[in-house]
Amino acid sequence: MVNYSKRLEGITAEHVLLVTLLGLSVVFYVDPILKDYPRNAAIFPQLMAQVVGIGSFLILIQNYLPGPIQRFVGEDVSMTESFEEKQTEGIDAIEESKAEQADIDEKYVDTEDEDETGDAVAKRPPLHEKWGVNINNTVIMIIFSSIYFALGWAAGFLYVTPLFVFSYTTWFRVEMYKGAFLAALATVIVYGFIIFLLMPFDQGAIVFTGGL
Amino acid sequence: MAVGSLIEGISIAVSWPVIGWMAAGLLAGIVMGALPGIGSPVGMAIVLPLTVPLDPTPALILLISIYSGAMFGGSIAAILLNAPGTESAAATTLDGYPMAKKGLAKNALAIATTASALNGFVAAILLVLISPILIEVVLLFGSVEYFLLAILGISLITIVADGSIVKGIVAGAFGFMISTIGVAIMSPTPRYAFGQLALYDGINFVAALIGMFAFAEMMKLAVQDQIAEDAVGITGSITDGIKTVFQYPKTTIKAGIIGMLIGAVPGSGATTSTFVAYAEEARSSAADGIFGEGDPRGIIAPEGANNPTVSGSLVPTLSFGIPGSGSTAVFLGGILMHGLQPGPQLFGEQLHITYALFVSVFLGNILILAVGYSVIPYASAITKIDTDIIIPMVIVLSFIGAFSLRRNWFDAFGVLALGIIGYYMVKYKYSVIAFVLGIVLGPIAEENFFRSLQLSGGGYGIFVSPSRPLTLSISILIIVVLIGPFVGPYVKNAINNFR
Repeated sequence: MVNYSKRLEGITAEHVLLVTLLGLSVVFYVDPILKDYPRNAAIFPQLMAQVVGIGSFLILIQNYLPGPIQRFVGEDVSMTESFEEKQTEGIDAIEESKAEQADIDEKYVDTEDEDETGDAVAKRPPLHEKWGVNINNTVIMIIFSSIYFALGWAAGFLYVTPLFVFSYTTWFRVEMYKGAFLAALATVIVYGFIIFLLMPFDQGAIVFTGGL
Repeated sequence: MAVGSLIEGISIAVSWPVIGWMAAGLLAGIVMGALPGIGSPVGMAIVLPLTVPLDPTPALILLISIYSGAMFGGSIAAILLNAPGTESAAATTLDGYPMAKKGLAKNALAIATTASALNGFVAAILLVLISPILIEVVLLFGSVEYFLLAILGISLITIVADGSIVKGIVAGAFGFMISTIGVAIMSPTPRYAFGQLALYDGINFVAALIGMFAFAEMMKLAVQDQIAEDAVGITGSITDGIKTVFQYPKTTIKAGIIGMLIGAVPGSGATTSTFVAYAEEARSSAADGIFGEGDPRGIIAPEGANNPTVSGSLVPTLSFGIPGSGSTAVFLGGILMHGLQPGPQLFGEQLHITYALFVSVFLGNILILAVGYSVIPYASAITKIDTDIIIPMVIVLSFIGAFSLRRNWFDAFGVLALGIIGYYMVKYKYSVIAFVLGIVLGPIAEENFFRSLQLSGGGYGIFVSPSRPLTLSISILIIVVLIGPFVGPYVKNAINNFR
């Protein structure tokens, strides 16, 4: 019996990326045929769609390809590799000596523990970590940005920007006064775009449609 | 014509407010370069839409000044935090940080400033001197050659960047593919718009640049821990640091030559040149060197190579539209956004703009010296800025900047969508620069491709025609670049066996 859950575990974000590219290449190849584009408008995108489609497919099935082709598809041939290795080696050596002195548990230093010179960095865990929720910070950033974009479109960036900046900085435990200052600064920037570049950031597509 | 254009270029570069934009760009670049995780591509991508109201020359001078400033700024974080502000400063950490830990941070920063500015200054002069040759070369190229050069650029990037060649080709072709959204160049046919009027103008390449460089970088930055824990104090002597550079003239000159030559190779940027310069210095001075423990030559070599790389990278970017790095890709975006075209135009009727850029690089390096020495005592303050403060501000600027390009919500959405795609492309080693090159050069490449087919009556033979030696040479070069890394070892083995 096929173990589907085990197979699903093997799917990475790269597989999703490749399937997306493959799907897009099919759309870019087929659409000119279905909608009868003139040849001069269709030839270039179709050619590129073929390259993307074939390339993505080969990367996707690289583990099942014969040796030489697999090598061509999967092997990293970066000319700069050797320099990057040197870089990694050098930095690793320094990092190792640092690591001997540093205590891993001191990853997050409490604000109150900051020394007089201010050299120590006050970095507190973000709210989701504090609540014991194990989510990558990048995912949180994408969620915040997506909501910011959607609300900005619906209600206007002028009103949403201070809320976004303040809530983001609060979530990542930046001191409240800094968050408030940044929110005000961001609002001034957006307002500057409205005044000087006449951008309709005070208007939303759903609410505040009339603007200021 | 060239001398007249040079004089006009000089008068533009030293006029007000152009020189003011140059100074502002340098300062902004130094700060952006000093912030670990920001660097010149992010800074330039955010500033790009803000340059729309400016004339092309001050806008491009502002961008190139950010690039130059960030090259130097990156060394501040590298020396004080052991965390390079830009990738190009990674090699500087190897000896810069150990030197700072010995209580010689001021010396290290002064060495970086002097080597960076001095060589950048000389490279800018060389750039002006070689420009008459460039003009002749550029005028030899036609539509067929320009299309092939775009392909060659992507091919070179795929072998310089991380990841397999196929991944690089897919990334570049994906960029070309995305660039075809909107009304076709040769006929008024809307393509892939799916009834959305906002897509008739296509995906704006500046929005793509913001997504790929600014937004995707913020996604990377969000997972990085704060790195300023081991920041060192600002002690030592600036004067001694300056003197040190002049004690090693051979190292300084060699680094400058390496930086400029590698910068001029399409697809390779300052990250490569600085490591090559460092590795070469470590090799040639191995006998008396203490590399990795604070040897000043370990700072002079990478820092002496990074700013000449800016000058070197302007050669393929301005003459053939092939950027060498993320920063030059954004710069190329700026050139196109302001209605200029790399190639014959920038070396013909717009030659004065090209010279104004060269002169601004030259003047910028003098300013780096002045600004660099004065910021040294306060350098550590820049590096203490929390990344969680930077991220929301960059996101705000990315969205409103992208929307402001054409008042199009698809552009702002493009930042989000392409930012996410860009993040995963970097993670899985698909060359983002190849993708960006595809999306930026797509319309030009398609136009040249179509013109080539018109010339040949629809046949592809024109790209390998023996009657066009230059075309044939570029085609052969593309094949060599793409299959060379695989065939090379077999050829080597065959030669060895034959011996």
